[in-house]
This record gives sequence, C-alpha cells and structure tokens, in this order.
Amino acid sequence: MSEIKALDVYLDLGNIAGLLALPGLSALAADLTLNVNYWPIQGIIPRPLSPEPSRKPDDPLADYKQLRWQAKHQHELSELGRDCERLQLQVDLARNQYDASLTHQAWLYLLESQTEKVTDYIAAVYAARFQQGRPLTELAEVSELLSTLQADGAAFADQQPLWQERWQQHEEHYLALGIHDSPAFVLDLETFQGRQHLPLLRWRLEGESGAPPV
Amino acid sequence: MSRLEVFIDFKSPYAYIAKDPTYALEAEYGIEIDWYPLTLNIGSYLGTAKKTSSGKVESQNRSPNRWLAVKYAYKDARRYAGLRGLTLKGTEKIWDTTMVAAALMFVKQAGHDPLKQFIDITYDRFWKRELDVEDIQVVQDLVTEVGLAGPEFAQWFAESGRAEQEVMQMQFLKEGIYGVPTYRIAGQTYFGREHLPRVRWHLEGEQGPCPDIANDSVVASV
Repeated sequence: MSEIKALDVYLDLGNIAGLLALPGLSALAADLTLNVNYWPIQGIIPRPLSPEPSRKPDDPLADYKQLRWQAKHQHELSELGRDCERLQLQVDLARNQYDASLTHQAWLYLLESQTEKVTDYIAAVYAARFQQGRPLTELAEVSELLSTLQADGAAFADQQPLWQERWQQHEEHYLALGIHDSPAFVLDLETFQGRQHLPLLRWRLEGESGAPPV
Repeated sequence: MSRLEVFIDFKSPYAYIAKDPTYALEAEYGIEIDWYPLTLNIGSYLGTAKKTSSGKVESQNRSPNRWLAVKYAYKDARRYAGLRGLTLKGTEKIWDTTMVAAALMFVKQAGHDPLKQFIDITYDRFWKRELDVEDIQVVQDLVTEVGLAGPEFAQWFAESGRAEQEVMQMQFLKEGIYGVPTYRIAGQTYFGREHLPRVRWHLEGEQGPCPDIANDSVVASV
C-alpha cells in the first residue's frame, strides 16, 4: 500500500494571494491521495499591491525608487485584473488588504476544536472579504461567522486572549522555519512559496517520473 | 505571430533559470526572441550585503524580513537549477552588471547565434563564480570569444556605451519594466518565468481563457 502524503498549506486570509491558489490546489488534491493540512500565516510581503515607498529628501535613489514602484504598481494592477477575471472577482474588493489576525486566531481555534470545519471557514472568510467586502476585523463579526458554520463562535470570543497568544507562538514557529509568504506549501520539510510551484509539487507527489517542470 | 521581448539581468538567479525555458520557445514556435538587458539596482529595494568568500556576511543593511525573502529566493532558484543540473553559487556581493549589459547590446548587432552564445557562456560562468563582470578586460574577452571585436566594444563602452545603457534603463522603467525576467508580448508585460504559460497562450493565438501562472516548462537537462 502506498503511503498517503501530507501537504501543509499556509494561507493568509488578509489578501487574495492564497485564494488564487485554491483552484489549483483543489485539482491537485482531487487527483492524488493526499492529506492537506491548512495553517494560517501572516505574510510579510504586501499583496496584491505594494505600498508606495516613502520619499526621503537626501536619498540619491529616490527618483529610481519612485519610478520602479510605479512600474511595479502598474504590473500588479494588471495582474490583479487578470486574476479577478479568472476567479470572477471585483477588482475594488480583491485589491484590499486586511489585518487578518483575528480570523487567523479563530482558524487556530477551529484546528483544535472542529478541524473538519477549517476548509469551509477559509472559504467563508475569503468570500466575506473579497466578494462581499466585509473586513472581519471585529471580534463580534468573526464570532458570528463561526456560528454560521455551526462552530461555537461564543466560545472563541470568550477565549480570544488565549488564541491571540497561540497565534503569536504560531507566527514565531513558521517564521523560524523561513515561511513568510502566502500561499506556502510544505512537502517533506521543503517549502514552496507561491502557487506557481503547483506543477513541481504534483511532480514530486506523483513520484518524480519524467523530466521535472521548471 | 506576436513579437516577444525578454528582459534579463545576468546577476539575477531567476533570470538565469528562466533562460533555457525561454529559449525553448524559439524552437517551439519558430520565433526569434528580442533580448534586452535590464540592470537591476537590487540594493534600492532589497538592501545590500557583502559576503566573504567563505560565505560569512561581512557587511549589510537588510532588515530580517528582507533577509528571509532573499534567502528563500536563492534557495528556490537553486532548487530549480539543481533539477536541471545547473550550478548556481550564491554571489559574494551585489554586482554592477552595467558593463555586461552593454556588451549584450553590442553583441546583439551580430545576430542570433553570437548573442545566444554570449548569453549562455556569461550566465554559466557568472553563476559558477568564474566571471568578474565588473572587469572590462573580462567582458571584452567574452565579446571576442563570440567572434566580435572585443577592443571595439571596450572603446565604445568607454566613449558612449555606458551612457547609452543608463538612458536605456530609465526608458525601460518608464515603460513598466522593473524586474527580470520580464516578457513583453501583444501589449502585455509579464514579470517572472511563471508567466511562460501566458506567453505561450499569446504565441498560440490566445485561444480560450488566459492560463494561470505556473512554473511548468519542461526542458532538457544540461
């Protein structure tokens, strides 16, 4: 009997980068016998749009930095448009970046109390933020969302300081492993950041037969 | 068939590992790629660092987050290089590739084959740490090796080549080219080799929906 592989997936619920990976990840999971474990992560790279650099008067590279940012921003906007078309999202909602701490804490809570609800929870948070424009940055909102999934939202609200502490420990853990961007995938202790790696992950999971996709 | 422009920098490991999957498009679609050098000012957006030959960091101004991103990027590039048998040694400093970028433009005038040879040997040796791309004699020798007049290159670079490069770099930035590899085709600009599925989609006549990004090229090992 072949061994069932485990794939750890790290997603930041504060921006759409992780959401964009879900169709490809679903296809991978459907084709292969795979245990997918989902974990929250606060990515350190602003997505989908980079902030404009602060302009320091004594910086000889200030003009270069500004021009480079404009070029990058234009590319990011084009990319966002293509991604929104693919997933049928509205650009004005999909471009938002949220502080996802509370929703990540609730995710950890579910991992301990009702793991089977995690994937529905992820989908619900992404939909609330990037299809409905609900920020979910207030405890009451997150608690209510949990309740709509038949999870104990009130219990999470009562224990939130504990989950905040757990979240901080979790952040330290993944950063120590060098995982810092969403989506990230960890297979056999090897980290892949970005959905562009899904073909290589598939190749690895299928036994590395034939030439690898590069 | 759409014209394909590709922008590279020899000091970028990601541009290096994109080179062969990109060149493969020429055979696959019967096209000739129009290559341009983009000289990245890496220190301006990733901070700077200098290492000793043993790999110890001698000086740096990078934040911990930037170190995380840079370390991962090298590890990722090495992973894909390793799958193809390419050598990709970590650099000891952020190199100034202005001279070798100018040489690319100089060699380009001689046509496809000398340019391909130049790009191949420059990348290969640079990432084996066998090439000092800041030494005019070394770059001149590369130009000579691919069949052109190296001393003429050196003279042109000193007289006007460097200045032309600097003007070109600002023009590229204004046109929206800010990283490597960048692909420009059919009025679209794509940064990163993960966009090769989209480049192929353009080359195939844009049938069906535009594909998602993926590192999905299969190329022969070296």
